[in-house]
Amino acid sequence: MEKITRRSFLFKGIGAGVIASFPVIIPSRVLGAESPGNKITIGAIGLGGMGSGNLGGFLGHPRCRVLAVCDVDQRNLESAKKRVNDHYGNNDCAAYKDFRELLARDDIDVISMATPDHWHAIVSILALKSGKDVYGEKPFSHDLKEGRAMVNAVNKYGRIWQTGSWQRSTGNFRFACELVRNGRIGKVHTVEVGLPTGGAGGTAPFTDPPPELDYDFWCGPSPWAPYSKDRTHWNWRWQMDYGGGQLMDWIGHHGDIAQWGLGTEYTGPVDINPIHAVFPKIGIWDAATRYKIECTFANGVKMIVQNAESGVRMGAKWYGTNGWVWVDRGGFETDPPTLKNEKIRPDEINLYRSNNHIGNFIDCVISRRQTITPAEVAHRSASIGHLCVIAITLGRRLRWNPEKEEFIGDDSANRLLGRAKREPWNIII
Amino acid sequence: MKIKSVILFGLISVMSLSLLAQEKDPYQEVQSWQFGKSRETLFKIDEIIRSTKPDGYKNIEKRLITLLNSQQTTKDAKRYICKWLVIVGSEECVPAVAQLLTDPELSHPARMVLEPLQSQVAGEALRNALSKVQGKLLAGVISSIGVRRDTKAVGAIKLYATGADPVVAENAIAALGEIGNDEALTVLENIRPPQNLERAHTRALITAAGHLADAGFKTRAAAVYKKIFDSSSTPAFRYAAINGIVNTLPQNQAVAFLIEQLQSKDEHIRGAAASAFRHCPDTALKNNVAEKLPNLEREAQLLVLGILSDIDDVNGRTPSLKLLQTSNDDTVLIAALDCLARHGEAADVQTIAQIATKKPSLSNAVIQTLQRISKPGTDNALVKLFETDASARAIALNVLSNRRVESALPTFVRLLRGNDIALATEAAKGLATLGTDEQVKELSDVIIKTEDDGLRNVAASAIKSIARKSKDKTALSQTIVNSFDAAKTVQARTTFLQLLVFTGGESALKTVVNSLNNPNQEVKNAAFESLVSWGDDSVVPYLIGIAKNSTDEKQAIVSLRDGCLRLAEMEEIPLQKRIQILQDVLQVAKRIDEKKRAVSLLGEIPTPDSLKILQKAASIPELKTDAYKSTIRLARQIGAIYPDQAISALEEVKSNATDEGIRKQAEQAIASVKNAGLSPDGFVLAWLICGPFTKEGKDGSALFNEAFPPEQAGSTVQWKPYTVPPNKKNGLVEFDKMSGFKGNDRVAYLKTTIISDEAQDAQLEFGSDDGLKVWLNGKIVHSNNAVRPCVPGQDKVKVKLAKGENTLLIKLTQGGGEWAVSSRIRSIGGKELNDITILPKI
Repeated sequence: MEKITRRSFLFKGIGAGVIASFPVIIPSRVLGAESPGNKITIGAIGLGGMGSGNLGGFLGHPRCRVLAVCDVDQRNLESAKKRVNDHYGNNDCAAYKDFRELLARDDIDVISMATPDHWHAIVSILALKSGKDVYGEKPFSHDLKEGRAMVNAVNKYGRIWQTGSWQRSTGNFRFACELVRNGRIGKVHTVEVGLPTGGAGGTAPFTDPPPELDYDFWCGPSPWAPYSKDRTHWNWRWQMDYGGGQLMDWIGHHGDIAQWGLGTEYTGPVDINPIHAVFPKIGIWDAATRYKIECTFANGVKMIVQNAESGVRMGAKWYGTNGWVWVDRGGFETDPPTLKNEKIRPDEINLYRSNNHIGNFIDCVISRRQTITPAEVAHRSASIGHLCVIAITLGRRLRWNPEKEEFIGDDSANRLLGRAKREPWNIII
Repeated sequence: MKIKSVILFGLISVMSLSLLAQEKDPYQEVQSWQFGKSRETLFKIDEIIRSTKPDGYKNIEKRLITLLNSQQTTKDAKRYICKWLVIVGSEECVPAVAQLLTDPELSHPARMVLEPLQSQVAGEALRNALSKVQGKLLAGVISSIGVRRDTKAVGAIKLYATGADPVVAENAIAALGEIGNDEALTVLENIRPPQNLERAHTRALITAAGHLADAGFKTRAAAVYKKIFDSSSTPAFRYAAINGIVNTLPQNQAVAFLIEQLQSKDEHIRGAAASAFRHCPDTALKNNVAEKLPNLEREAQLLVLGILSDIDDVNGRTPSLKLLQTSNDDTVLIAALDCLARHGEAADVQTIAQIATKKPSLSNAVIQTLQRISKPGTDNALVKLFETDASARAIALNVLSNRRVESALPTFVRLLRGNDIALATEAAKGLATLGTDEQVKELSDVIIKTEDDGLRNVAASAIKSIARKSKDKTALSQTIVNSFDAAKTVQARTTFLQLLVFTGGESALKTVVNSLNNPNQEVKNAAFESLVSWGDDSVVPYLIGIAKNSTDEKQAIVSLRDGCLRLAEMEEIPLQKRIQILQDVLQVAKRIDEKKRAVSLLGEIPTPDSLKILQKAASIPELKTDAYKSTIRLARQIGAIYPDQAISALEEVKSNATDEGIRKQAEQAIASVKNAGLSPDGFVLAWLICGPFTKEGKDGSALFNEAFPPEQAGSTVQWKPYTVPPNKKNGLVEFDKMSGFKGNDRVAYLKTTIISDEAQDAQLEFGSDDGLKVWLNGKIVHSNNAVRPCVPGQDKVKVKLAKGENTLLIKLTQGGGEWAVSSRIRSIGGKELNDITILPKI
């Protein structure tokens, strides 16, 4: 009898994975044995806000076993290690400051990656090239070139990728998109993507970094700047060297849903027109706080990306010739209202169904099938955000070739597709 | 929109330039900028760049180059100058920038400018810097050269790839891979890396092979991949090599290779081969592999079927159909069925359905597949299957219902009319799901005509489910009444009488009442059963009549117990009507059991009228104890709103009750009622509540600004008294636990009256889940459209209470989950507020 090892289980499980895939790729819990030897092994890199939440998701998944954690902040690291050990009732969880040591372990199947944005590409590309499947936080990448390199690594190394755009695994969002895709509001001409308004700030004084944080490592591939408590831990989101502001934070949610509804998940706009943008003048936070950018797709459909104000609500709202559909985490409205009671027939577009985002990822790790938010789709959603950021940075209208992923006739804009990494980091690893 | 944008950015441009004319030269200001100084200085340059067209960049670049070359310019300023030069820079800035490459603090900012600059000069600057830097800086320069894929640098970089510094060597190896021309690949092939760089080396080989393949040198690339695949390299590299080989070998060889790997004994290799299959851009190759699917080993079949189930551009239909015929493996069959859900056609419907006949354990998988096939003609094929294949009829019916195939309705009706009882029964089942009011007449005709009990029952069930969703119950009721009149058999008549309960209505009730006198006992019984089950209080006079006049004692009891008392519990019926029903029951009931039940229910209806009836009921010796208990319960509930009536009723209980326990309970209740509206720690306990209010298409947050009747002057609102139960802390009013309020996306209102002995300042403290809007004496004093859990005291508002009555109105929104509010009245300093009484007034 062939010996069943932990890894071999993954592929033994494929048949069962297929059984479970009606009508979607669904709970792996139905797939059989759950002894520790059969677990999918997890290493978690980045254990702040989102990483800590995702760690809970993997700890709670019956098919997973978290083996190692990694963070450049010793407090986050110790706290995560304790959490894992408390969960399993042992002291087995390994803790690393340097993600490369964790990635060198051949007994880890899956990486939960939730670092600040500026680390996404380097960590995940090395993970993928080390044979790991990755659950990565959104936004997918920190710039467009990184995003393309990440997609290439996923495909060339044959890995499974899920992005933390979990709204896709929620019924209302899917149904809203199905209504739009199936013409229930007629021919779509516009979609509004309402994102949060940012805030100015980051005025805390520069100090020595706390001893538990390896700050130089934290800055990593991005430009170095002196430490302040407003620099790191979530606040990095409001600085363009490390994050991308509210625009980039949320484009992977509502922008992603807008794309899903339009069916433009594998392409992008051809024209990006910045209407207005307001940037903070003081403090170290430099991301736009208010913004409005009009993107136009090749078929003439417009996507308005803006902070939610002036009657535009958070969420995605598609307008068609016969009505509109609006969806957000707390709301779902249609015009006419009866659209909410519509049934999507089998001969119409029925979108991918998942009711559990981490669960969907694990099912796909087993079946080797595509997740609900694969790398290319996540890259295209993030691309819209990057294009908007470049347009408001330059203050001018841009033309974009979504196939070649280049701006047309604008050298300066093309120079902003990627950024040189601070030594010794790079994404060409 | 487009014009507007130009104007907006144009305006910013003009404004900022004119502003700048009056201010200091921003470039000069930047020169001395350091971390810690205001970023406003930097912001000015950002704005200049944002408002300048590319043809104006030259001037900015010149100013920035001057600053870079100046000894006076701080290093911190130079970091930012480099960031701006990324946008406005050209070959002209290269010399000034290149000199920074050797500065540990500025080397990275300099590379940010040079790396993306499409210029030979920039490339040359980076190459020249190689000999001037060491360690990390050298690694950085090498990686920038790699990103630029500078083929002129191969000769220089190869020296570093075998150097002693592992960081530099790793970057050099990676850069050679990224440059990825034949020369770079040859260099890489000739390197024998130390163990710590083996993985970096193989990654670089894979990258270089990829670039060569993209450039058309597939044979060269294939050889690299093959070597890696055949080696004992790290598994991840062998997986990547499979992908590379599939994309570089001639098609026939690639197919053979892929098939071999899909059937590998090594599960990792099989998984990698599956991925290569998915990502291969060559559709012909994929079709070629798919064609061979029926002959592959089981594990390979499962992997490929899974992928085919996700993609459209490869023919998954033929191999899946073939597998349905040839495989006996349930797992494979299920996978093939799943694949057919995407690729199957109308012509495949019967073949797929037959699997369920052959293997009943796969029925669910068959149904799921048939439900999802989306190709044209599938609905018609399913209707045909239903009609022609008895063995597949149940499955076809299930699928037609779930697909909501309305085009099946005429077929169902036709079969319903036919002579085949089995078919007619299945058709009636279909109508239960898909039918509308229009088919009720047909179903009624079947009930009239058929002698088959099974068919009659199924037809009746179909009418019931149609009635439940019907929007015109009056018309439906008339159709059934007409059918009842036309029916000749007892079975049909009794069936229609049962169905009339589901439509209700005046003529339906009349038909049922008249049937109580039908000469046939079965019909009579059916009529009585319907009467007792009737859904609204229009039936009460008839039920009371039966209880009063019937000589059949059992019937009298049932009409009260299952009829009247059931209706008196229904929240949908207005309070006064429920009281009237209970009063009638007390009058006509012959048994004590029904009277006791009525007394108990009166204790649940929060009005002073209920109290009065209970006081009266207490005069009947057998009811005395029950009436006292209900009185105590009710008085506690409404005591805050009707303190006089409640206390009076409780005093009566206290005086007259012989049971010591009841007297004590009454005494405690009196004490409680006297302080019913306000807890000792200031929480409001006595309220009038109403709701829930909803609006189609609006969620909890959106309802916050929707004005419902309690907010509208002069509107009529049915307020219900509510007192926070003694076991609830913090005056918590929990709507999500109240039967009439449960649900998402709705609003409730609470109202009470604060009587203040004098005009005084006060602090209202609230906790709410979710949003909260508060009016005091008609004016909004607080508004918070929050989505949050309720924490008492999370919102505090200072108000002025008028002397005398102050009306407090609260609107509480609900998105989902818990739904509660806590309200407290304190002095401005958060202490107890004296001289106030809470007394809700209807």
